[in-house]
Amino acid sequence: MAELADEIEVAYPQQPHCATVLLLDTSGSMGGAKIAALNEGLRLFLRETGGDPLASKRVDLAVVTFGGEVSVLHDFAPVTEYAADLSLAVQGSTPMGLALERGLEMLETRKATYRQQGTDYYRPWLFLITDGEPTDMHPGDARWLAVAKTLREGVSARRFAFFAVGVEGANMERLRQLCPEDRPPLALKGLAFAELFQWLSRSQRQVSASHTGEQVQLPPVDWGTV
Amino acid sequence: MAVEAAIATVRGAWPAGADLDAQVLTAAHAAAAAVRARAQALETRPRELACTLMVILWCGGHVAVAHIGDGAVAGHRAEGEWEVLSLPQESEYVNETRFLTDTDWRAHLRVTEAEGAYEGLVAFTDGCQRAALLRNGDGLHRPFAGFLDPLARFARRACKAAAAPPEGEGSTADPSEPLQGLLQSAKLRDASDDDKTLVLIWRDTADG
Repeated sequence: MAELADEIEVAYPQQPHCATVLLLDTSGSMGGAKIAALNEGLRLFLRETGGDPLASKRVDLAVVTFGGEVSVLHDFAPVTEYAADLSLAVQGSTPMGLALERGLEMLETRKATYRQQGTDYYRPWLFLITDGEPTDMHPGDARWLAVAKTLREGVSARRFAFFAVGVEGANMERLRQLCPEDRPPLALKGLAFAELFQWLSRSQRQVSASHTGEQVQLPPVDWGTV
Repeated sequence: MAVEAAIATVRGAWPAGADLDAQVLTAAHAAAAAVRARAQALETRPRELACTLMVILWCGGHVAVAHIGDGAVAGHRAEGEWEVLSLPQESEYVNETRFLTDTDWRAHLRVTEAEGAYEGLVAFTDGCQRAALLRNGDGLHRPFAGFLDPLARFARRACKAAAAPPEGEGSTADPSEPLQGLLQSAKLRDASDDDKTLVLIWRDTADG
């Protein structure tokens, strides 16, 4: 007699997904040692996350850069589809406002796609790394107010989790004004990008492995300070 | 212990009478109290014993379900159709649901009733949910026959085997073994690494 497993079909065999958008500052001031360290950290993140059997199937990563212009370097995909030698170049100013708008829009569109496909999903992540302040919006202008409101309300309504990291030279006060009170921006210690991206990989692996009802405790941050 | 408390409560009130919905509600309350008492005895927070719960009473053509959390109950009509009798808790994220141990659990306990000529019921936890339920574009769940129909066929065979075991053979086989095999199969493990519980409640139609 055939095994029951051979007879049944599974409605949704695909894994649940964790949509994650990395918003990475590639403005001119990130040149030299900073971008080299960021590139190395990013490649480490791709390797470690891609090497995890669950995270490699569940983390749905998009990378958006903002330097002169905002560019979707890579749309949502498993980390294993990224080039192992991914390398970002720097140029221009810091259109952080547009990058945040783009990232937020991408997350909501991705969730709508998941719902259409019947793919289960975790609360998505928006992760910002910058060494400056936005040059396309300023406190009090229309874009600033709209972006800040969307971030605050979105985090409060648990539509996504938002993390901001300031690299040496960042205007931490500006970042603080954008971040929710219970998760202020973190200042990266020196060029500890490797530690930052290892933490990000461990965190995403923990989320990917979390079961219903488990409160995901993120690993302690040893690469930055509040 | 939640299940044991619920069963004890229902047994104590049997025969069920007409108010199945009140009985499943009482049973759910007994289950909640039992879990909290256990947490207190262990000197731990109730959250450490978090669980979802489904209490199902089926009597004649009436089914009542008290349900908190994810998982679902599907009913199979004699004509061959499936319907979801109790839906999973609404939750946007896959690793979040409501539990019997939440402080506001009463607000999220759902009691549903259904009437019909059901041949059988299938109850399952979240580990089987992605296999057993489809979702419309608006997020509403509906039963997936590709998973459930083979279970109905299995249940009918099991009922027949129980009613008339082959001559000369004493039956020592555990009739639920094929279900255990299913839950441990690679196909279901790949679909979800959440806990998997599957209960089939079938009426032998030879009884009428």
